[in-house]
Amino acid sequence: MNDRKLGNEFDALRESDRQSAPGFETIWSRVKSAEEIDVSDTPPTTWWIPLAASVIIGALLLFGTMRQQPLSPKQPGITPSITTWQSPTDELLRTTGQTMPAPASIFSSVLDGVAPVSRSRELE
Amino acid sequence: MSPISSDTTFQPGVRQMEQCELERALERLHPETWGWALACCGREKEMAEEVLQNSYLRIISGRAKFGGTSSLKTWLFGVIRLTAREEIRRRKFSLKRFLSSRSLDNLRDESTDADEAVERVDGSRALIEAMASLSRRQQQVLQLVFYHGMTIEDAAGVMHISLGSARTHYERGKKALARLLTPGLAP
Repeated sequence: MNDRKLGNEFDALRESDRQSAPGFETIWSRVKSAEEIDVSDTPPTTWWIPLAASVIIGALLLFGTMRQQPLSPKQPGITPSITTWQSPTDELLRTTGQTMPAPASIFSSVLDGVAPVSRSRELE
Repeated sequence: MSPISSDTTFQPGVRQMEQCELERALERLHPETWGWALACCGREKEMAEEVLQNSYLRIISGRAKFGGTSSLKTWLFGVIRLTAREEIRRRKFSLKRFLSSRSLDNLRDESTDADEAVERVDGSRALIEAMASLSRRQQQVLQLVFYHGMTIEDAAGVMHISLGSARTHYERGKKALARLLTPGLAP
C-alpha cells in the first residue's frame, strides 16, 4: 500500500469524523459558562499573600513586645527627672569612714604583731 | 488578508488578540481539532469532547499562552495533546479506584458505548483497528501527517519530540500500517 492509498483511507476517516463532530457553538457555549464559573468561584491565586503578610507582621510585633517587657519594667511613656534619678549602684557608694580599710604602714616589720604597739600608733 | 486567515501569518503572541478573533480562529480549526482530540483520546467521543472543551477553556482563560514561535494550529494541537494526556491519567486513576470497589464483570456491561462509536465509522474500521495496534507515537505522527496534512517537522513540534524521532516513528508506523491494511499481508 502506497502513500496515496493510505491518504485515501485517512480522508475517508476524516469525512466520517466531520459528520459526527459536535458543533463548535455547543462546545464554545460550555466553555464560556465554565469560564464564568471558574472566574466567580475560584479566588485569585494571590489572595493568601496579604493574609500571610499580616499574620507574619502580627507575630513579629507580638514577639518584639514580649522581648522588651523584662528589660524595661517601667512604663515606656514615663521618663524620670534627672534630679530625682538614682543610679541602681548608688548603694555601693554609701560607705562611712569607719568602714574604710586602714592604709598599710610604710615601714612594716614581721615583729609588728609581737612588739607592743606605741600609744601614738594605737590612736591612729 | 485577515491575520487569522493563514496559520503562518497569525501572530497573536506579538500583538494582543481580541477575544472574537480568537473565537473565529478556533471555530475555523474546529473540525481539525475535533479529529485530533479523537485521536488523542483513543477515539472515545465523550472524552474527546471534554478534552476539547478543557483545551479551549485553558486558552481563553490564559492558562495556555501562544508564544508565536510556531503556527497556531501546531500550538493548539500541542495544547490538546497535553490536555488529553492529563485527562487519560485522571481517568486511569479513577478507574483504579473504581476497580478496587467493583468487580470487572460489572464494568464490561457498561462499556458498550465505545463499541457503538466504532460501528458508526464502520467504513474506516479497518484503519482504526490497524492504527490502534501501533504505538502511541506512531499513531500520532501518522494522524498528523496523513489526516491533518502536516509536515513531519510540524508533527514533531506538536508531539514535543525531535525531528529524527518523528521521522523514525513515521517510517516504522507507515510500514506497519501498510502491512496491516494490505489483504494477505496482515497477521
